[in-house]
Amino acid sequence: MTEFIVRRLLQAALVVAVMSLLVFTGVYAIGDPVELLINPEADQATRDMVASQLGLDQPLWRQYTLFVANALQGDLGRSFVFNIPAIELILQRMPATLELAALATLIALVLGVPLGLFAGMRPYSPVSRTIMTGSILGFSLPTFWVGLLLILVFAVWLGWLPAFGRGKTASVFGVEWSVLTLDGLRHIVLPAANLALFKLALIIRLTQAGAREAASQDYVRFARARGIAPSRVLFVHILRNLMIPIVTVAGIEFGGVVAFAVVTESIFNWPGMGKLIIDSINLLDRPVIVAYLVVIVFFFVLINLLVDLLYTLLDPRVRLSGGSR
Amino acid sequence: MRLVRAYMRNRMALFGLLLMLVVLFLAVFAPWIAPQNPYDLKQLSLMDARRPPGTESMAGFTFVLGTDALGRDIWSGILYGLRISLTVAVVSALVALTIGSTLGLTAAWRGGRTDALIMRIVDLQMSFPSILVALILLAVLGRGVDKTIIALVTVQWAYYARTIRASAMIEREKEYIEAASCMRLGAWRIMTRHLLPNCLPPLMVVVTVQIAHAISLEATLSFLGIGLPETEPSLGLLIASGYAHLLTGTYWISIFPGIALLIAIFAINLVADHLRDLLNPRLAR
Amino acid sequence: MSAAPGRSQASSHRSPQGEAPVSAALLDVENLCTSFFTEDGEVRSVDGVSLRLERGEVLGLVGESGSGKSVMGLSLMGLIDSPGKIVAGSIRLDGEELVGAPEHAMRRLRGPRLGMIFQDPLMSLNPVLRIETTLIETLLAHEFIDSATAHRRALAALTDVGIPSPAQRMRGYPHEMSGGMRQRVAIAAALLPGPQLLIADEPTTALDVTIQSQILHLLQNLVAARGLALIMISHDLSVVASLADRVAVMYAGRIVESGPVQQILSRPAHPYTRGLIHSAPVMSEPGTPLPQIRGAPPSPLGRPAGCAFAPRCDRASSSCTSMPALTDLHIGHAVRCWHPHLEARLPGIAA
Repeated sequence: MTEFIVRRLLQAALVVAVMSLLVFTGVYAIGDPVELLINPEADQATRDMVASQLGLDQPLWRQYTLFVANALQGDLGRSFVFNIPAIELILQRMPATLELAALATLIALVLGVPLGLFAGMRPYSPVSRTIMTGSILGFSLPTFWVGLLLILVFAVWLGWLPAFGRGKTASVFGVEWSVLTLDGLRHIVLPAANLALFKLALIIRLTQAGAREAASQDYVRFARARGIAPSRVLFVHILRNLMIPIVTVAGIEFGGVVAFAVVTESIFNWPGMGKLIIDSINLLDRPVIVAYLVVIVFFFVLINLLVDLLYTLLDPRVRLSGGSR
Repeated sequence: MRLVRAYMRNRMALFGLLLMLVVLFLAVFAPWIAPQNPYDLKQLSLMDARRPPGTESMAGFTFVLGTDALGRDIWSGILYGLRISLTVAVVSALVALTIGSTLGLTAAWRGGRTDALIMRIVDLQMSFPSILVALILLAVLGRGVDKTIIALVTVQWAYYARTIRASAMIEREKEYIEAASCMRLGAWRIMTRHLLPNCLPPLMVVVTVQIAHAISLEATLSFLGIGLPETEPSLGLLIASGYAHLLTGTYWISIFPGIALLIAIFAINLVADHLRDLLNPRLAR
Repeated sequence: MSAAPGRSQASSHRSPQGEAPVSAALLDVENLCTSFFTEDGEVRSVDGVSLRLERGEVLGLVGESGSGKSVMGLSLMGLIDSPGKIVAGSIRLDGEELVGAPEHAMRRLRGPRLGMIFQDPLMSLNPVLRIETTLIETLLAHEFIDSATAHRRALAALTDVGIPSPAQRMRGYPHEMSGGMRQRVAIAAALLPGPQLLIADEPTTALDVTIQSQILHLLQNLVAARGLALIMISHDLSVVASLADRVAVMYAGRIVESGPVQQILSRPAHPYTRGLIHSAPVMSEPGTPLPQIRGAPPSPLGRPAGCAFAPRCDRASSSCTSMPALTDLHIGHAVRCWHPHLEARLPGIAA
């Protein structure tokens, strides 16, 4: 088991290293950030000064080694625009994105699994067909457009919920979370619902397919043949087997949700990492872009690792054969 | 073919197909259908700016869906926008298909380390969400049609590669391939003439789904301002241009292009979904 | 076939209006028809099957895949799901009518009165549940007992089916056991609530040949010890031969021959039965070509009118275009054929 973890950690480190190199080369080799930050009238001397201040006059490979050396010490560069360490900037914004992503995933699971189960157990009922067609609609809708629609309906026309920004926060463990306040909840509902839609559709489809498959399995038949109550058949036999792939997919997709938060945050003006990266791209704030990408890659690899571990815990067949999938 | 007949039996699927054909038709014949070319500055008049749906224009036709901040007819904008969105999506899908198929077939045919290497890269690519990959690429490359297409291709090729490889690995074991290789036909010829056609069914599904996905992704990227440039106004850009006006109640600038986008994607997904159900041997039980 | 008068399968058994039929038979099936309504049409998997089973009797139900034998078993249990349906006929268990019974009534019968085991125990035991969970849930579904008692009975059941170190095995999972042991567990689980009738659908097909005989032996012992009635569904006559008292041969949804096992094996009357016996490898001299029944069974969608076996039969004639009825040849031995074999089978290697 420990061998498995160590192996995966090494793999993860390798991936992060490769990605950082790719990203770094790409971002730093193209374009000119100096242009952005100074007065266009400035003379060459000023430019040179700014360039050396930002470390841009060094050869590329030198910049990279500096970058890596600093990175290993936790310093991923300073934002050109805000002039604070990039990593600090990202960590500041992280809780907002995380709570949004977590809430969205929760909504998707809590709504999606029961709907999918129903559709899977009674595939020919009109309700089920509606659910399934609805799910196609759900993942056809581009997230950004749904966001616009939600703002239009709930904020502009009905005026029930605020359209922009994050609500008031409460502090837990020194971190600010907005889900803990009522105002915060009012602000998070629309963006979370927006982010959840795509996932919801996917989970409905996944659960439905799984339920349908499970219902025709011999172990379900055998359970019914022994007179086991239908509720137990559903919750213990079908759901237990179903939850394994669902949880693993939901876990892996969590990374996707965090990534997709980019769109939702832009629309709802939600102060998270996603909005930061879009702004940074537009402003060519390279250190932030690089730092974000490194953090995200790291995050992903971590999630994949956790999901693998979770999988071995849930499925006894895997657990007992040494943890290698 | 039995497949076609089976498909026709499902009303939802037919509806999707019909919708898709309508969208295609509109996109292809946009210049002839649209009452106005919204990108020809001579036809525009600022007097027409932000008119609600149903208003009469100066030139005599009705702005069926209203106008935007520059006086451009939304309906015309949608038609042209559909054109661009679909073109970009289809082109990127085809390029990704070519690249992905080549790599997938090679992986399946050669096996061993080539296979392992290619599949590793595929796995790596697929473990990152598409939006992130596209974001990174466009952050590096900048805006532009070709750059957007590159980003879309990069996001998609792995799906094709994996699908083709899976099919090809199954087909490869079949006898007719053994026979072909005994006849000492070149490997490339065997792959393209014999293997590939039999891998088509799952590929059809993947292509359709990926086109829908590409449309959606491109719209998102253009909306965020990092995809297509303003000179090629896809639906995403149209929607973006109306974003600022939402709060003042000028909803039509964003909403109608959005509906058009939705219909296009929904139709393709409907078709893809039913294709997939039909081609899935297990569900046919 | 029992020797009591009036019990031939061919005679229609109509009970007086409203009264339970006067018979001690455990299971009485009359003209059962189960169909599946698919997009391609109606598939009549079971097309008018009647049979009778006494307590403690073992009936072998033999046929190829597609003959409807598995659907027959599921119909008896009431486990036919949409798009399938029992469309006609009656199934009486100890006088109680099962066709049309509401699901909650059927559930009370499944387990305590009726049991079923399936072909592949790796698939029929839930892989994420421990063995003890599978066993105990069976008990708790029907009786209000405390967990200690349930545990004890489960342990006893495992011992009954011959599982070594049962206490350890209880805590384990299905994939940790061999195929034979898994099937034993399945049998234990099915028999825990004490049913009078067990339906075994190809219980040995997924197992090694050596293990097969062990399981058959186990079933034999259980039948003798508990007076269990058993319907053994199989495509393999030799498997059935060692265990069954009577055999019914199914083809294309109908019973084409039935009778005591020795009769069927030594004097098979239906050409299909004869073909089945002759094509079994154990029946042939080594070195001689293996006889086959030519052709293939008809698709369940397009069965010909008349005898379904006629296209493959060497004895077919123009009269075979109409469906023969099941008629008695001797007491207890019925056949559905216009040209049954009346002579004894040429002895091959004895079964």
